[in-house]
Amino acid sequence: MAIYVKGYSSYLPESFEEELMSAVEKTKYTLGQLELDKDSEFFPQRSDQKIMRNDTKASIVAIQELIQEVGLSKQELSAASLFVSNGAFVESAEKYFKKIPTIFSDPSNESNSEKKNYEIYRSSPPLVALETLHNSMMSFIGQYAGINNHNFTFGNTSISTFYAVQEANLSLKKGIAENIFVSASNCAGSYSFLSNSATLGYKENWKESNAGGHLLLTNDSKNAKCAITDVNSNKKVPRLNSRLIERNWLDLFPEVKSDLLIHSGAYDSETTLSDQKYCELHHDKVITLFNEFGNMGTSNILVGIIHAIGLLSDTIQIIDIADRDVYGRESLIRIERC
Amino acid sequence: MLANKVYILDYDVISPIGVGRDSMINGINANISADKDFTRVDTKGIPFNRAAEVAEDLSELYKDESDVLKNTIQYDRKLELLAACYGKMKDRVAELVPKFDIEKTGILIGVGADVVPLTLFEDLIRNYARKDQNAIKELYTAFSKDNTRINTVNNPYDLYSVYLAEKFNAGAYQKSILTACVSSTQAIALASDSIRNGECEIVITGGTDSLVNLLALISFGKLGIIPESDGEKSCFPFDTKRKGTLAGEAAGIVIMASEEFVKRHELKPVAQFMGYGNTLDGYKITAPDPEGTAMVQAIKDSVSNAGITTDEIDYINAHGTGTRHNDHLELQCLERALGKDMSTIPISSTKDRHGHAIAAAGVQELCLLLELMKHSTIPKNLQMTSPCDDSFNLVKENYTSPIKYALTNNFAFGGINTVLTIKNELL
Repeated sequence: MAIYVKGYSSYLPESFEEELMSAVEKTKYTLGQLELDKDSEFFPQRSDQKIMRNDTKASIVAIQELIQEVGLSKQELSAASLFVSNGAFVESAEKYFKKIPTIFSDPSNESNSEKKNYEIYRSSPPLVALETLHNSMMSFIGQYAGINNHNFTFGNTSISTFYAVQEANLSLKKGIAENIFVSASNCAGSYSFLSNSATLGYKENWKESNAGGHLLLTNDSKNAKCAITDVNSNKKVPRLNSRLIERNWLDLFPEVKSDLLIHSGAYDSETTLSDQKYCELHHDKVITLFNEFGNMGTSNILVGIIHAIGLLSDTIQIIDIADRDVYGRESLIRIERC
Repeated sequence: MLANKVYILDYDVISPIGVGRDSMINGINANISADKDFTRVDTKGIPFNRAAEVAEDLSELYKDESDVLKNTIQYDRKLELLAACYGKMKDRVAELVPKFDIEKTGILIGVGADVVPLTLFEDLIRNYARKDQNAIKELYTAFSKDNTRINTVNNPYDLYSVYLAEKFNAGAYQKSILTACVSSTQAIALASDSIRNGECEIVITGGTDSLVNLLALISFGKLGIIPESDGEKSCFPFDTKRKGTLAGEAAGIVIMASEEFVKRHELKPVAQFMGYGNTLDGYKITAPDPEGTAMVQAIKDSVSNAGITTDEIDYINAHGTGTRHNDHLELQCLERALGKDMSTIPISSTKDRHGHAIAAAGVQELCLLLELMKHSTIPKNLQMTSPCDDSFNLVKENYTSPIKYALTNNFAFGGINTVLTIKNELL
């Protein structure tokens, strides 16, 4: 039994810059940045902006654009469910700690913990707990969209969005809600880069981006953009003590072959090329979004689905979207033309 | 009411009032409060130095873990608490785990915020800074060099669920829920769905979190949630003099199973997970909806999904943080949702004993509730001397009474309301 994409919206990186991470280790990465539409009628209120990351601001604009397009009533929105996945919750590794090195370097603080702690206290931003709140994206979406029902924030690797879609799939089939928003947003930057590169091992040509979007999922095929007909993941226990990449997407491909396979790619071009070669061994037509956007973390799957919807045609009727997260967990979502 | 029954087979907890479930009930009966000046971190110079900390050395409980994991545990209190919790229960569940089907066993846990204890790296940071290098970036990079998927600091949040997946051979999924004070409550709720809909027959659920560190105390203190310390007790849920919550820490693991699994293996569950309510205020990130509409709905949904009546509720373990506004709102919402004379249902918050463990609050309070059920104990609001509302049965003394059905409430920053209904299977 399928579920349906009734509407979608997204925000994608528009500029790319090389960022130096460590002068000592000579590590660097390419960062995809969002261009915020500050003139949008849907741009968040000024009082909220100060505790929002940039990707959250973009998400708030995008959700309201989607709601305007699909025309849900207030009651329908209130009764809708909301499943969210986020990448990093901090844009920059040093944002909240920029004064710490100065405080630690002050010789008068070395033997005076009271003075040192007081200076740390004084230098800490007053709203840091709200700025880094894990569910801030979900709560802001709830606030701006008027969603009051079932909700979860999954996170924070790329499989989290698979889990959100999987949960929506199960919830719709059980009749828990008629409308479910799945929202993904990836906050890329030095914090994300450090977390992911430490988990996977740093490689040259690292590229990751801010990106995100929303899907509105229902049981109703009327005017649907596509059907989601398969939601599957490898049922294996990930291993923490090894970084070895085992490619087993083949186990997830349904019997009926798709017309196109979109894979997320890795965080670096070399591993992405290996993924591409693996996929080409098992499929005739394979593309990746990595070359254009880099890795979009938690937004890989969602942007992949939205990109796939745009490619559906008379000759491309079935598309598979495949992903692997930083712990090696593989997933596959299939969409079909309605 | 949904069709398939969901049972709780086993559980354990690391709490400021007890390392392990058995010692927790002793802490309740002895009216121990962990509301104390805390010792693990030097807090001289900041106005917040009270917290409920797990004061015991936990290292014996995870002594068999790998060196890489133990290295990370030095800097990650959440991981230490979770590893200790697993260590506490591993011998007891050793015969149960081989019965799990890898493809039908999932992990679903609530996890708190990432806090890198920068004060532990003071010398390194100073050295980078004196060389005019970007100290924070260089420090993080320096800790990113081993050859495993376990980072020294700054791990993705699924580290904790993947860690448990290795222990419990759970291949169906390894999910984290990141929703502040309801993280583990939602994880437990979602685990029940996963079993009811047949996705899994076993889900290992729970959570881990710690606020007992300098940066968390400063950030929550600056928001006015943790009161400035005056050397006295600081947390007074449902009392007229309440002024803020008590930072805490905990980890808990709960094994939930399908009815079919329980019958097939002739197991004796300790409790049944009856139902839950889970709603979103959609109001403001900074404050709960003063109307409490979604909170009322979550309480109503939990009871109606459980298929019980209000009269059957024997006890409510309240969220009761001890903050002025939240405690009042919770009581009003309970009254509106349950629609009856609230002088009859005993209500207490236990946060004045074990503190607010944020992402682990839900699992800590569920484990405590299971112990209360096992021992037929209704705990008092320990530090309440002047109840804020006499029309409610805010428990004033511990007493013995069977608990068949109970609610446990948690409400989060950003307006998330999650309420669980539990049935005692040991009565």
